[in-house]
Amino acid sequence: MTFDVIRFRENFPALTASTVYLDTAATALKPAAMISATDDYYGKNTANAYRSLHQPAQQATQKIEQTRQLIAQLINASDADQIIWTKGTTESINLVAQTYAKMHLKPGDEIIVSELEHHSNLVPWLILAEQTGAKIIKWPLNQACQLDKQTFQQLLTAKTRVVAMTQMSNVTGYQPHLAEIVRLTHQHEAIIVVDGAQGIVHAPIDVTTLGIDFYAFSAHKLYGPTGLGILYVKPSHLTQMPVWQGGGKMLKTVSFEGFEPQPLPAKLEAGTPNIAAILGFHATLNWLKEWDRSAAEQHALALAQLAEDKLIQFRGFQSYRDPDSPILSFNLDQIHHSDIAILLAEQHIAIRTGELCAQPLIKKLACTGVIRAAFAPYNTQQDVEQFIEAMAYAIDILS
Amino acid sequence: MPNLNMTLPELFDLFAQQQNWQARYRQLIHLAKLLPAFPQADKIARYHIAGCENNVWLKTERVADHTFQFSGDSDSRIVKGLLAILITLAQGKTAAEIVNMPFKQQFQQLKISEGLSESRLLGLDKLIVYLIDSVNYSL
Repeated sequence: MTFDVIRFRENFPALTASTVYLDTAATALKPAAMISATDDYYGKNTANAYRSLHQPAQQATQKIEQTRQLIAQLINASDADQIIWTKGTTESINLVAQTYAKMHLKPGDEIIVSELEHHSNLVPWLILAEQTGAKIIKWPLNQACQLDKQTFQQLLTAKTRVVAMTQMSNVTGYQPHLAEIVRLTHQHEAIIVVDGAQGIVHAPIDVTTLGIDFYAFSAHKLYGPTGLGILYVKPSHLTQMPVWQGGGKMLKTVSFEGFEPQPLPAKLEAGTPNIAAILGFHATLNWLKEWDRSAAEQHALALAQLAEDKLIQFRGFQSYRDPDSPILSFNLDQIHHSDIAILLAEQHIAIRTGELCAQPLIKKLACTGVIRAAFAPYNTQQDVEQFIEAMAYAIDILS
Repeated sequence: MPNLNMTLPELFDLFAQQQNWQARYRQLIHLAKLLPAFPQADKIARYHIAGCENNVWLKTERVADHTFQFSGDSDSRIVKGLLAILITLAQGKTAAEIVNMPFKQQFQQLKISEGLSESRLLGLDKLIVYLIDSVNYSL
C-alpha cells in the first residue's frame, strides 16, 4: 500500500488553504468519520450507556465495548478488559500512581523518571513521592540527548519500584529502546509505566510482547476526540488494582455498611464515561485501518527532514530533532521563540513554542523554550514551503 | 519614525498610519530598539516580572518632583516594544496620573493588540498591573 496524501487530506474538514497546521504533536486534526460519529450520537442517538434498555442506549453500550476491543487490537493487549477509560494520558498516569503504585511503595523506595518526560509523567510521581516517602531518581540524558543503558543499570537498585518512561519525546521525537528498558526494569522486579501520548501516533506498540505494566495514551493525539484517555493494565496487575474513585457503575452492591466493587475495568470507571468521545474514537480507529500507517509516517518524516534542510539557511539555526522524528523542535540564535510564535500565528501557521510541558528537558537543552513544528501525514510539501516563507518573513520583521 | 519622547497623540498617529499588521510590528520592533540599554546589574529578581513566557524587567524610580521614571527590558523584541509604549505612556507622570491612566484602552486604540494572541494580551495585562503596583509600592 502506498500513501496518497491528497486522498488522506480529504478526510480532514479543518484543513484549509489559508492555514498550515504544524501543531499535531499538541493535538491531531479530526477526520470526518470521527466528527460524524460524534454528531450522530448527540444529534440522533443520545443515550446513557450500561443502564437503559432502549435501542440507542444498547447501541452505545455495544460500541463502547467494541471500542475497547479495537484498542486492544491496536496495542496488542490480550483482552479488552485490560483497557480502562480515563480523561487522558495525564489522568491515566495519575491513576496508576494513586492506586497500584501507592499501594506498593514505602519510604525510601525509588521511582526512576527519565529526563525526557513530559510533566504528565513526572509530576504524578513527585506527588506520590511526597505522599509515600519514596525518592525520585532522575535518569539523565547523555550528550546526544538520548538515554543510555549503562546509566540506567547504575540507577537500578533493590529499592527501584517504578520506572516512568516515555515512548517518544514530545520535544525531540527521540524514542527510547523500550524493549531493553522493560527487560532491565523487570530484572529488578520493578514496574514500568509508559507514556504513549506521542508514541502511539508514530509507531506500533505491542504491550504484550514488550511486557509493559501500564501504558497510557490519549485519543486526541491519534485523530480522536478530546477528553478521552486510555490506560492499559497488564493482566497480572488487574486483580491488584484498588478502587480509585467511587460512584455509579463501579460497584456490585452498596449499603451504609460498605460496598462491593465490580471487577476491572468497571471498578476504575466510576460515573458516566465520555460516551460521545468513545463513539467518535470507535469511528476513528475503524477509519485508521484504511491507511498504511507506516507509509503515512514516512511521509511525515520526509517533510520534517525537508523543513530541517531548509531551516539551515537561517543564521543561528539549532535543531533538537532526533533523527527519524517528524517532530522538529529548534531555535534561532538571538531570536526569542515567543516572537516567532506571534509572527507565525499572524501568518496562519500553527506551531507551538515554549517549554512544551517538559521543563527538565528544556533545561537540559540549555534554552528557555523551543519552536516546534510537528509534521503529520496530512501535511504537504506546500506546507513546508509556506512555513519556511513565514519564518523568513518573521525573521525579517524582527531584524 | 517612532521615538520614546512621543506624545500620546503622536503615538496614535504613528500607529494609525500603518496599513497592516506587518507595519505595526515593524514599528513595535523599532520602538524596542529605542529603549535605553537596561543595565545587566538591574536584571535581578526585584525588577523581574514573573509568570511571563519570556523574561521581562521593569524598574520604577520615584523622582524628587513626585513623578516616576521607568526603564526596562525583555528578551522578546515584541514584548520589549510593548514595554517601550507602556514606558512612553507612563514616563514622567505622577502616581495619581499613572493609577488613573486607561492603559488597556490606549493599547486598543493603538490597534497593536488586535493581532496579538490571548496569552500575549495576558502578558500585556501583567505588565500594566506590575507597573501600577510598582508605583503604589513606591509611595
